[in-house]
Amino acid sequence: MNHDLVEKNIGLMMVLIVVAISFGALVEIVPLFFQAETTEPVEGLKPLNAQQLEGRDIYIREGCNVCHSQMIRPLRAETERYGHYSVAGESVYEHPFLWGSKRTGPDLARVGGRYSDDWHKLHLYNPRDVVPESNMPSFPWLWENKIDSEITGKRMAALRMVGVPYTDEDIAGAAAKTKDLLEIDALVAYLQQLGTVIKHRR
Amino acid sequence: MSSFWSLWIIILTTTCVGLVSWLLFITNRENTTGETTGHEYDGIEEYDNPMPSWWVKMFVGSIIFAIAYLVIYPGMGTYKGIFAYISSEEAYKDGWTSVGQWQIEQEAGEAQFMQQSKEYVAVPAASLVENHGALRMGRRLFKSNCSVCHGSDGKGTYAFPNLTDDVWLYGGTEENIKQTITYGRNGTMPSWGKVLGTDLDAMAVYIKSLNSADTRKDAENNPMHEKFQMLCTACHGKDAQGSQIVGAPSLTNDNWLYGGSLAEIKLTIDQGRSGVMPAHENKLSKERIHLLTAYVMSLSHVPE
Repeated sequence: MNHDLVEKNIGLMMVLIVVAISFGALVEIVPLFFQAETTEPVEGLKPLNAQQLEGRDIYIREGCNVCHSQMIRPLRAETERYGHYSVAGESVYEHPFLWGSKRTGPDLARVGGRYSDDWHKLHLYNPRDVVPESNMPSFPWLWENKIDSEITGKRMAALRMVGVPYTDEDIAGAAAKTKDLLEIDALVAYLQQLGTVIKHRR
Repeated sequence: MSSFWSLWIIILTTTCVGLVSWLLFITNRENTTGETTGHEYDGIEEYDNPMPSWWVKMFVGSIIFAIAYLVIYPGMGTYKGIFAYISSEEAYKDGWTSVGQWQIEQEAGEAQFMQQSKEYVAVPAASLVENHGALRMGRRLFKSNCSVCHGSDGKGTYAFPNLTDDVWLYGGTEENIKQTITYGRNGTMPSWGKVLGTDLDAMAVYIKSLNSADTRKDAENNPMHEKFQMLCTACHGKDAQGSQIVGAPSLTNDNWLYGGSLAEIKLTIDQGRSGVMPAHENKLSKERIHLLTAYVMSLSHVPE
């Protein structure tokens, strides 16, 4: 076998490497771009409103997705604890998605409506107040900072470019809806809608 | 899946398996030849030896595994896999899927739950407060659904009611508790700061004085008494005993949801409070709520 041919032509080697590693993606990922299950929203799915959208940004800023996944797998132990397994159609307006890959804390894919707003606030201010054994950090500054309402509309416009169906009215009215909004209220609004489109009774 | 994508997957997968098999085949040699690869660095040369045989065997093994997998399970486009024909399960009729397996486990689990809970659901929850089996099931449900707010011991915390005492905001009968779990509760104490103005401090002192029978005796002489009758009695009752219909707590004991210090009482009057118990109608079945009710009742039940 002639090693020289591949080892001394770095261009050819690169091409062959790309060919070798692209099979998986071509077979497992590319067809999903064209399937209804992954590209069409589930029934009743709406884009996040202004407050929820800002809350989602706080969620990303504070790195919540590093410790909390938003992906319930179709395993009985998970659906018993968290609710119906996640489906692709719930994430079509997610840019970027926040499925996560590690659970230091519990999954949050269906945390919406599970606890009261007050609980979330107490918990985010100091998690130990409600869950004594928790090792989650406290987020007291969320009560001090306000949302920059000038940006909300721009965020929506950017998301519209990648396919989230915000209307012109949504974008025009966004600033008014997030004016003087505390970060904590935005975050709680985001958390309280998570996974509420699919109902599942145990 | 359209037939185009089905073909796409089948062709690419077959090509990939074919290519690696071919690569393995053409590079395979039985013996060492003693020749070098021709590389030489500072006098160090490299023998052109064949791949280690354990490595080649593992490679062959994984190719065989891949082929067997693709025959049994759905992987090749729209092909269902022979598992679909072997299995008698309805959930696998279009081939094995993780969702299908979940469904089967779910149904089996539910059937087991219904079987185990049957005798408990048939009798009132109140009669189960000393039933070990029912309480074990109830405790598990409580831990995963209620303990985050009410605490794993049910003793609650600031802003979340203690379930182990005999003080109930919305009543502690079986019916009351079921209603609370199923439909949730929205407790609202309006904010009185603006209405009371400078009387706020005096009102807080008055409310605190209602706590014990000793200080309560003089309540009628307190200048705030009249204002209390005007503003607070609609919910908390004429004699401040509270009302379970609206979830207003009695102010005549030392049991406080939001703290009983003067400062905390003042804050509650000034800003108001809203306590929400989420509804579980869409989350838990009737049977589970029944078992939970029994467990909650057992928390405050004093054995005879």
